[in-house]
Amino acid sequence: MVHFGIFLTIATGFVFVHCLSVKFTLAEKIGLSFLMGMALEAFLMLFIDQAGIPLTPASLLAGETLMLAGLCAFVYFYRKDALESLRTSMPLSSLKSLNMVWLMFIIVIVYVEYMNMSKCLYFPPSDRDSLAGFETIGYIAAKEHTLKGLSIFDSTYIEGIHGPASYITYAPLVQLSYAYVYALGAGTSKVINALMYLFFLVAFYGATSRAAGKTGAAVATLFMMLTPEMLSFSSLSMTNVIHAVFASLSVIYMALWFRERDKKDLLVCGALLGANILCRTEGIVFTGAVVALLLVDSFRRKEYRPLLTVALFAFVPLICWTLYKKMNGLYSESIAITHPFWDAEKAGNILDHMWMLYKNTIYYGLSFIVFLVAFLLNLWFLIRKGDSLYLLLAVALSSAFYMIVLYQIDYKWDSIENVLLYSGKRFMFCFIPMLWYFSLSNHAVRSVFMKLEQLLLINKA
Amino acid sequence: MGTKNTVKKESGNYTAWFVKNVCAAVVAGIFIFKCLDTQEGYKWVYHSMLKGNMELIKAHPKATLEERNKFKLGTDYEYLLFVKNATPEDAVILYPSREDFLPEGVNSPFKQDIQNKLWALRFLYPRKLVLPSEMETNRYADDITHVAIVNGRGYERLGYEADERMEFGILPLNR
Repeated sequence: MVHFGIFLTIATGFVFVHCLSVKFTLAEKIGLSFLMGMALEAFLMLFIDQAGIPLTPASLLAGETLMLAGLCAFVYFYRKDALESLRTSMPLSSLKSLNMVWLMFIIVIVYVEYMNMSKCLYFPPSDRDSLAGFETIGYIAAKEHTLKGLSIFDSTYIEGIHGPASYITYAPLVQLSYAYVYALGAGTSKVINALMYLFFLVAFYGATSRAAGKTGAAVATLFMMLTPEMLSFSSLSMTNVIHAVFASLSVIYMALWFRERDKKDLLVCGALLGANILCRTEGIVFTGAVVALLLVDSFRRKEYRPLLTVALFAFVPLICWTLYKKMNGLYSESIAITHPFWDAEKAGNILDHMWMLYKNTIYYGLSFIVFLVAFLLNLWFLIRKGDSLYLLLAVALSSAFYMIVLYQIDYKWDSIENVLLYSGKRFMFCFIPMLWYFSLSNHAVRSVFMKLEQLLLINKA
Repeated sequence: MGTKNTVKKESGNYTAWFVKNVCAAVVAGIFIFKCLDTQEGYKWVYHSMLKGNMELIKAHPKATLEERNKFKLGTDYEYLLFVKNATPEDAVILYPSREDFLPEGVNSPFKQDIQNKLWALRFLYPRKLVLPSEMETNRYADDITHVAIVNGRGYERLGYEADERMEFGILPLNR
């Protein structure tokens, strides 16, 4: 049954992407299918649970089938060119533009992902943070057919459940994804992590190839996926890589929108931002950055529809989740300091740790170094033409927002050092795909890769 | 004659395309594997993490879920599996404290994680767990059916004198 459930999820996501637009490339459609499908399923599970319907295999599959039918009806009535778009986006027509450098990178990507996926699926969840959190919540939710009424959310059974930073208020997407596959009979929840990363790679490649060309996208995809700490965490059950998937792609689609001004990218950006916030609460920093940039752009162009579109997609899931928590008494002691204050030592500590992370090539490989080189190479085009300006601003703004969030936290459940060392390190995963996207899609580097592709074209030889 | 020349030219074009592509691909391949062999992070992730795990997977391709859990979690998992197999699903277990799992000055086979109630519940669910520190507050404290023994500790929580003492085990609260 779990295979059928996964198939339904992919189909739902695939059709949903067509509801947004039929103009995406095939790689984007396939890559986004599982990501969007799983986000939609988790969102739906919140409503099923709130309605008091048990989260059983029957209700989950029936709910998803109904959702799929609704999306299909939308495509049938409003996206009449969907089938035609599938035919024209088949890669066979573009095989001539491929070259052996591209092929070499794709082979290595497939080989590395084969090893990574094998590892992911072979080993059951074993990391402490998931077993003492998301994984166990998902497992028990599948057994008890609910999230809101979980026995482990009962303060007379689990002491400190409403304490600071308690798992009771963790954003629900990952737990509900695990609950979904457990409810359908999976032995472990790792199929979610494996498929998330696999489909992410395809989506990242698809999105990047639109801005960097196929060869540049293959290079970016390989080095992005090889990022040591991120690759090792991609096969664990923690939320960080899944969060990075949604957060990074949302910013990349924002960059694509600023590049091409095509509404479809804005819609995907908004949907991914919504999923990002259902993954981890601190995902709000990316929503904040994207919304701030769209706000500036809206003022400049006196056109507010893009801003409203993204805000609608991005904030509706957050509002629903907040209401769900309120209605079901899912609360924990606040860790936020809500008044402004100045603590030079704390601020210095945060900046030092962040700087240490940027320089760490064991965790992030060449990501930051290549980004810096690409930034310098593209400086002229950035200053003269504003090339990749909004992407760079989104990276800078979200980094700054994250540091503000870290600063405004009252570390009463853990030390600031631990949070910076572990959470901070993993939060950086969100930026890695953005950095590689920029490094290969900026004007200077893209020009070099375009020349290379021209040189290696079959009809130009 | 003209056709022959065109065919020759075309095959020459393809040869040039092929040579250029092969040369570029070889350079790209050398670059990739140089990165994987020299940059510390990539070296670790490729040679140790990915290849190392693949070797383990190939050595035990048919390992069961329980065996794979043991690979990763070791004694912690083995103990919980033992408790799970020795108790009914509706058991309420008086679960050892941190001090029981990791007593000072004793070389305990357990790691830190097992003392976490939620962590342990992942393997013991639907059994209920009560910690010694929760006897006054836990709603299941009056329903305890079993007492978990680790490092020879926990006998004082039984409602009777045990006939023989063991290092690790699970015993009914009352005879």
